[in-house]
Amino acid sequence: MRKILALSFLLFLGLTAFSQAVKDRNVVPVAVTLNQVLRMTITNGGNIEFVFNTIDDYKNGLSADAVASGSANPATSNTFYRTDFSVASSTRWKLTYGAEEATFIGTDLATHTLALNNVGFRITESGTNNFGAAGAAKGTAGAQLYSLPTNNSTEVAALLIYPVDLIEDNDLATDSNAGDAGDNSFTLNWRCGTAEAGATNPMNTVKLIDQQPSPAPDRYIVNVLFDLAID
Amino acid sequence: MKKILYILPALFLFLINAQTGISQEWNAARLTILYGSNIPFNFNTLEKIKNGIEIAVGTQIGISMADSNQVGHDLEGFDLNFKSFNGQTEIRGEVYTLPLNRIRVRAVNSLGLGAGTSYGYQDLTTGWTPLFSYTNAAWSDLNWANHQLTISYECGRPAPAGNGSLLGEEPDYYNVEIEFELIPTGPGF
Repeated sequence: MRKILALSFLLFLGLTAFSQAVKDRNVVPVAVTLNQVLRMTITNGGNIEFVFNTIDDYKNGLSADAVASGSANPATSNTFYRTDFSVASSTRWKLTYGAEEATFIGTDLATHTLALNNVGFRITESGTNNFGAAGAAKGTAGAQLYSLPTNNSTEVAALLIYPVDLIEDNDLATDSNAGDAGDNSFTLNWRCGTAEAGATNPMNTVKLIDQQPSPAPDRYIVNVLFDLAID
Repeated sequence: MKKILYILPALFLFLINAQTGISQEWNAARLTILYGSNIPFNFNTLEKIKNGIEIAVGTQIGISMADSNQVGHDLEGFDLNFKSFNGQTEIRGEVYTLPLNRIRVRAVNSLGLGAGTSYGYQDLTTGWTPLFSYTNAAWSDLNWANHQLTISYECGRPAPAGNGSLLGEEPDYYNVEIEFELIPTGPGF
């Protein structure tokens, strides 16, 4: 009898030792595909034309900032000299720009040239991404955008030959210039013959009327190229 | 001595029998993925990259759970937990990586589990995180056809609703595996 009891006890041990709560598991793979979005859109002012037809035009130039630059045109015509554009990018981006040729070239006679630095621009941002302060080094906190040739949009800059990095990401660790058109919206306020001398990249400081030799009458043109890329 | 020689083989046979034939678990549990066994997030517009993507009905899970009526083990409910599979610490792309918490997961009742508690969207981490709990003291067994949960996923939602958009992140094909665990609960479990 004692042996039977012992056997029963051992059998009970066998029952309890191998029972347990049953759990279950399953695995679901999740994939995230990030496609690159990179687009620049010029919404206004894709073709800028300066027409000099008065002595005052030659003396003071024409610009999109009539009051600030002292140009000859009335302020009501400012918008004729503006280029509006936006950038939509899913990553940090850089906009490179510049004139396609080293000088403006006359359309009536190709030997007629006009120095690029007779034309300049002031850039302004109207989106939520902003340039830093004047003189701020790249990486300075508080701004998503960086522009060396315009001293962070604080100076009028002369037109330069392509390629020049016009707008870059400010290289902040936790904030980027990526965004849509609402974040990255800009205006180039063009001018010609205003002789504004920004410290970083000055325009020709001699007005058209005073230049030696005097520019020959012609229609001078140059293409300004823009290249948007990942920064 | 002779008796011992007889008893030992008998004892051995008893133990084998106990392990394989008589032993019964305290319960049965099974997670069944009815659909949504693979979740793709495709960020192909700036709007999606900026505001994130929510897949509200991502995975449909059927819950099967039965009580074995073992003394001292009263099944009364279950917990559903999740974590990244195999301790993966980030969402890995071919070249780049994303933090795990850019993906958030939620479980809600879809069928027959309305008395349960959903914990809302939870960050994906390397540790088990509860998504849904169900308790019913008057337990009746659950089966996948009548007891289902919907798993929702969101990725790249900006703060404060999420953990940050994917704006500025590098283009790549990122992936992570998410592990779900069904755990029985009740006195004795």
